[in-house]
Amino acid sequence: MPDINLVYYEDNRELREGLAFLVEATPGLKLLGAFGNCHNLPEEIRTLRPDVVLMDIDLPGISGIEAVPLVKAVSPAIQVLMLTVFDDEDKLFQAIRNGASGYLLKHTSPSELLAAIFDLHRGGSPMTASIARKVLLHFQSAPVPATQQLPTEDYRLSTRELDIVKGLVAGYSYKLIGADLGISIDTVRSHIRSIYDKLQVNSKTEAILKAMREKLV
Amino acid sequence: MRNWKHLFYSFCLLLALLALPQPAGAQTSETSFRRFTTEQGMSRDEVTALARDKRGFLWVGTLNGLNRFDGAQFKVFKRTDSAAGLPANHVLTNGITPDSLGYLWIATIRGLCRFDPVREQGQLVPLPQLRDQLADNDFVSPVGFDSAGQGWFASIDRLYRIDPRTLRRTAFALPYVIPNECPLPVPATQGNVWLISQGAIYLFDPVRRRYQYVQGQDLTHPNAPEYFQRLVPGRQQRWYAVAQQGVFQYDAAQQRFVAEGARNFNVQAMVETRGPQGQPACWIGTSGRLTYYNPVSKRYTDLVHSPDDMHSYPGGITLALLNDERTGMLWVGTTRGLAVIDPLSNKFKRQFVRSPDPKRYLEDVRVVHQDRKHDSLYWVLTNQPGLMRWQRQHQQLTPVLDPPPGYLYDLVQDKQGQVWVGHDGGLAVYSPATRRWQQRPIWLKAKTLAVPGKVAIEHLLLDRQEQLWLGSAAHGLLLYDPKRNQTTVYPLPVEAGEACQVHRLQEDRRGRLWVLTSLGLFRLSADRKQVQRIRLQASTPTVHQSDRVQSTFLLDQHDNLWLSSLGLVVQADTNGRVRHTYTMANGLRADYTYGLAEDQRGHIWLATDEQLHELDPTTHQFRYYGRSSGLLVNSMYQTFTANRQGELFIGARGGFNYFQPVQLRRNQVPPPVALTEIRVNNRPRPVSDRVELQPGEQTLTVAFAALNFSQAQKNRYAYRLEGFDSGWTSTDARTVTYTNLAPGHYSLHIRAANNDGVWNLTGQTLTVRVQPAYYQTLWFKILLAATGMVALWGIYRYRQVQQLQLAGVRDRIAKDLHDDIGSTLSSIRIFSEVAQVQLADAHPATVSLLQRISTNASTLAESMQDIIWTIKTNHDGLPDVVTRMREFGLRLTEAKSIRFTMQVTEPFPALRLSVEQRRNLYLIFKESVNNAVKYADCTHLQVQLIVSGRQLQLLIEDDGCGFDLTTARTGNGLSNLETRARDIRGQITFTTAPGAGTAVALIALLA
Repeated sequence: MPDINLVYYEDNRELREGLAFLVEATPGLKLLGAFGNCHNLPEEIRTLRPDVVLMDIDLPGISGIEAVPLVKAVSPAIQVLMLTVFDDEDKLFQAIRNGASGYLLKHTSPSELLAAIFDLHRGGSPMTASIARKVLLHFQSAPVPATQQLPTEDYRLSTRELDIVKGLVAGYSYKLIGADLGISIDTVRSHIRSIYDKLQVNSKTEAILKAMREKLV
Repeated sequence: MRNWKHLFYSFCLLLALLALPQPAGAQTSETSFRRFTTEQGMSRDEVTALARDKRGFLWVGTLNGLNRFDGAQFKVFKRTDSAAGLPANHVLTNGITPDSLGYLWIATIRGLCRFDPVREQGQLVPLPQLRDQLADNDFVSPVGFDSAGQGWFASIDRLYRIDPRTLRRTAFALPYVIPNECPLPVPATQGNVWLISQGAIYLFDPVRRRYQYVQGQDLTHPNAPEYFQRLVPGRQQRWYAVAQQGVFQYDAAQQRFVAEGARNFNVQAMVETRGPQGQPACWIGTSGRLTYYNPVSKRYTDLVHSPDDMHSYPGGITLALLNDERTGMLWVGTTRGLAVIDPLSNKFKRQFVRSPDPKRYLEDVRVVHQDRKHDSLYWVLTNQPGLMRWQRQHQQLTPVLDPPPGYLYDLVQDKQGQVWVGHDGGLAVYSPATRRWQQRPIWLKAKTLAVPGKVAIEHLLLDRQEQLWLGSAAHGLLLYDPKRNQTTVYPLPVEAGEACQVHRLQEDRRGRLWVLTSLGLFRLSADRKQVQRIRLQASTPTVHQSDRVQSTFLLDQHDNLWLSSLGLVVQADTNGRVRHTYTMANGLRADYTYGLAEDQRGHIWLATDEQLHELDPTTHQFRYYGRSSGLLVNSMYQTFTANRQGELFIGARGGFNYFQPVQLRRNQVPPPVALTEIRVNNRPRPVSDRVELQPGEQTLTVAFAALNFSQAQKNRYAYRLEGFDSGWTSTDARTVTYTNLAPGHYSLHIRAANNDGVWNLTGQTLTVRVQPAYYQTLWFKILLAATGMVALWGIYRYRQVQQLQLAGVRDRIAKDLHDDIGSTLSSIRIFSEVAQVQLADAHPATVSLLQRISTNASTLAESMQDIIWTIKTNHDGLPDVVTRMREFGLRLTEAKSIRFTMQVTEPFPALRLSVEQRRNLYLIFKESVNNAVKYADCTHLQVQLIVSGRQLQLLIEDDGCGFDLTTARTGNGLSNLETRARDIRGQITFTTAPGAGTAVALIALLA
């Protein structure tokens, strides 16, 4: 299996060097670049072409949340994993809606961190209970886009997805959710993935709507 | 020739009139005057002019000053040397004339002034002679107004027509200019004007500017018979002229003034009035008397001054007369003050009785008895001089000579016309035919008489059977036989030995004879054979008074017995059963009632020591009359006598009063109400219908008057300040004061009633506006409130901003912690882990050390997480805590394969917790779960969170091995938990026993 190429954005020097060290020491992962800010992010991404981008949320200048769409603009296939010391739900939710595929707490143990990177590459999407609550609230209150220009797929959550989100809200792990619903963890993961997609789509939709409105205005 | 005859007869008549003897001792007092002088506040006694303004005030011009009279008070106006005052204090004769606009035109010795009686300001009418700086020719004639409303007056050299509104004048020449004399113009018909000038009367046509000589002596007609002194307008286009020969009236057919009645007098003033049959009559004021002339009967009636009678004509020269047609009052201005004839207030006629001997006191008149045959002849009994004849028609009182000696008490007249008189020594009888007295002394043979002697007879009664009953002073009831001159005592059932004085005798309609004595009331049967004592029977204790204080009684036409006692009058039936009691409480003001009489309406009249009472037995209402109504006295000690026409006579000291009860006139005119003064903070303000008070003006005094001049002291008032007073306040005072009224609009309503209680309910209204001080205005209050609200909002916002700042601070701390510490801690872990991997082969012992570093870092990181989490402001809610708890619990238990369930009450209440509460609650939970996971060795961990109201219950149960409470207490762990519980006002309890699992229960009260 080819190595997963990583690019890392983190303004704290100690952590950046430490994580770089860790990634270097881990087979299967390759650190292409570690940067302290996102000022030249489009250049760097275009040049380095990573598979996964580790993004710290609090960066000087352009914040990590704002940088996510920039990454996705260069190549939508790149997965962005947000790193944060603290799970500030609003920011994380915003990052997810901008296109991030998941997040991790910085104080997660290094092994878990590495495992999450592999997991992400494989298609998983980590989600915690608090984020799940926000997701639920979002889908409960999101207005249905009324324009005809959009595809007619349903951008609401399906019942299965809703069950999963509710389980996440209750604080269950993927394992327990799977056991509860009678599905495998992988199925849970893929459901979560599609939830994220729907979130992004919704966010995209709103962006389009906003642009249209602005054009009109 | 004819003229001579006429003159001769007039002269004879004159002589005849003068030769008539004046009746001696007689006083005509059918008309009474009320008098006002400087003692009542008038500026000067010499009254020259009288007028009434539109509001109803009486204006009195004198030789020194103008007065406004409201019935009780005089307000004096004098020259003030300002342009807005009077030009002079000397008001000329008849010099006040009201116009239709409400002004008063005042002719003074220094000119004519248009006076505004409401604003109390005058305006001088400028005339040429005022500019010559000579004061002797400034006087003008009084103003007269024609039918077009234009005023006419004359100065010494011109005739003027003036517009009362604009003061524009048109001047006309005079027929003659007489030095120091002012002619008098009087508006006539068709725009013409009479002009009377020094003896002659002219008619002036203003259009053609021509004078037409009418009558009288002037330079071109020196031999004219009449020398006219006065020209007086009457009503309905009548004019009167007065010359020495008497009163003349203008005859439009003959176009001359024709003499009315013949009399020679010096007329000073004249006014037309209405006679008794409605025909025009006149009052003529001369020097020394006031004369009433009735043109129908062509009779003159003189009213002269009498020094004893304060109600007589004041005397002096009458210069002004004012007749008030509505009330019938005649105002008389004389040089001795102001007087008024008030037919409505002086209700009682009076007759004075003077003793021919001036050294004697005036005695009491006891009886006034109408003669049997002659209606106009009365027998008047006084103590001394005794018996008098009163010829009412001629107002003549003549004493009957040789009366019996001693005091005379009572009289009756028998069928033959003889007058029987009871006196100290018995009886005397007078025969009018022979004019001779006969003495009939009374001797008694009764054993009760200690010494045979004369018996004083105080009461006489001639009953239907023509028997003469005598009431004695000490021997009770006697029967006298005139033929045999015999007296018998009628035995009354009394205690023997006690003197029995008779107070009164009356025969009722059934012929029974009633006798009130000092020992009780007795009733003799019609046949006089039976006698019964009548006692009063009543249920109320007030009536049980001794018989001895019963003063008089009356049997009325309904067979009611009225009996008076001390402070008490009762109405009873003829057996003594009391029906009504009258005392002070229901209107009887008297202590002693001396006389009771009934009039044709059934009203009961009481002569008492405290005014004359009139009682209506159907309404039980009293009315009171005293000297102010024309009675001679306020306390009456005699009883009534009545004549056949229903008039009542009551004797008093020095005279007697008489009246016809059914004809007592009431003043039906509701009085106009006027404001006399407005004072703010005791400073006068011009009187108008509104007053405005500025802030700082606290006291408002309003003086008012009811313009009823008839017994003005009996006027009553009521006032109400709408917006302040809840109801009407009655008062006798003529002012009302309000202090410290709150800002706003008010209306002061004033009502008044006249002397006979007839109310003017509309009255006067004064609008009062109290301006708020700046701090009382609505604007200020709104501003204050707005400022207050802004201030409050400002404080609130400040606090919000502060809290936001605090929140910001908290967030900043979190953020800072977030970045630096968290990141660095993570790096420690990472490095440590990497080192572990690298050293795993070479130095395995070091791995555990490195692990400890790593663990420390991660614990530190986790604690920091918790700190950050708790101080993060957007995690205030209970749901957030629960979510975190769940995460933690699941994470910890999943690793150890412990089944973790967490139940929360549904529906989940959204409570807000403080930082303290969140922290402690979470930490209690965390530590308990930690303990359970680490030490309990359990398979199931159950957490329950129950919120009911404000109480939170956290229950953490495991099915592990439990522990011994007593030994575990010494450790820090449990006490820590207890402290944490206390910090959030909660209680934690541990239920555990070895092998029985553990249950940790927390009960806390949330805010």
